[in-house]
Amino acid sequence: MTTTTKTERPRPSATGGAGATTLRLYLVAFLAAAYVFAWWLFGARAPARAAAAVAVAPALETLREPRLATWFHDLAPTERPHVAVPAGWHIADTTAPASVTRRNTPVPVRVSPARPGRIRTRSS
Amino acid sequence: MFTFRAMNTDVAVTAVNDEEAIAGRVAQTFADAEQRFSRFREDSELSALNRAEGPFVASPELFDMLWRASHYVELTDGLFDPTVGGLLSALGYDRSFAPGALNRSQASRPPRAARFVDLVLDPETRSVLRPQHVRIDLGGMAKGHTVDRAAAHLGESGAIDAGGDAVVRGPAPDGREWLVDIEDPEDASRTIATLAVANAAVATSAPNRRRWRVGPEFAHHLIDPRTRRSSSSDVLQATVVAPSAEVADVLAKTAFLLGARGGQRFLERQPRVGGVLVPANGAPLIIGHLDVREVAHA
Repeated sequence: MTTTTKTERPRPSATGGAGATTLRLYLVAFLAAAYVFAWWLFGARAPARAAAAVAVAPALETLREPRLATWFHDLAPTERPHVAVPAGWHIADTTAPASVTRRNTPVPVRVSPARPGRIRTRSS
Repeated sequence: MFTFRAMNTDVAVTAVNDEEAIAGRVAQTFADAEQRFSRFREDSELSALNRAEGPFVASPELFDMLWRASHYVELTDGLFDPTVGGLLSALGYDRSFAPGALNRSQASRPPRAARFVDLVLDPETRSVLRPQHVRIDLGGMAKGHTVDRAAAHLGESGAIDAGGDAVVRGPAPDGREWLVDIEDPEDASRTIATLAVANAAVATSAPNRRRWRVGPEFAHHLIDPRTRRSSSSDVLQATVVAPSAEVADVLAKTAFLLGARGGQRFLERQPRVGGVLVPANGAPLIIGHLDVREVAHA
């Protein structure tokens, strides 16, 4: 006598199969709704937002634009790098943009002319 | 009036408006010129040219200066020659002048004879080909050129006086002409003549302030290319009034080297130029149409 053991999977009930189908339909409907909402959100209203973005872009770019130069004296003394300048040059302590000037530039001094309107020529 | 020290001399700037700012720009012009044209500064462009082996591409400023120098060499039949730099160094003038600092027991061995025409100038590429024995000294010409460039800052009225090389523009501060006193080469406290000068330049050449001892003799910076020695001219001092300080300086030096008679004839041939030559013997020679206001009498 042969004994066989048969294990049967429980057949899904008719009600359970309908639930899965319904679930799929809900999922599709949800995705469709999400798509429509996203289209409405980013597609249909995009021009208005783009205009607004253009309007603020320059200001943002100005804020984000990297500085073309950092002047030596803008840095705190402890942050200043060692800069090797050519012989005869030095880093001037000035707020003017041209912050590197020549050391050998003489500084004129005001004097009172002994005889205004007269020049003395001689060999020098 | 503002003064500063540059090119081993005192520079005075007189301007009508904004004098301090103008003086600053003039000082910068002199500093730039020294950086480019000085033969005493190792880091100058001229020193780089004097060290260069092979073609040297010069800046437009230096090349233009050499190009103009070539015309002056031609004009003066070679009496003006910036290649006397080697001779000056051999005689001891190898650093910026200071009284007594150049004295020495004997001169160094003079270099091979050099002439400006030995240089090859190519205006297309601004290249300068310098034979190794040629040393260039732009000296007074560079100073005159610098005074001319600095005078562009003056506007319509003012003066720049760089120890003898001067430019005047417009009326003097008192509304009258500028007066130029010519120093007596034998007594610096005296004036030998006074000229009224308008919109012109003046320069003076004399050996009295740049002399040094080489053994038993004196040398000075006015080298005669014909003899390759300090000039033994019979002129003590030559003053020239010309449209530009550069031209005035070149012509004054040439007139000095030519001596009293030759210098007089040379200056008489130059257009829009006047001069005062002080011979070793005799009264000053007034050349050209100068407005002479006073002449000192011995």
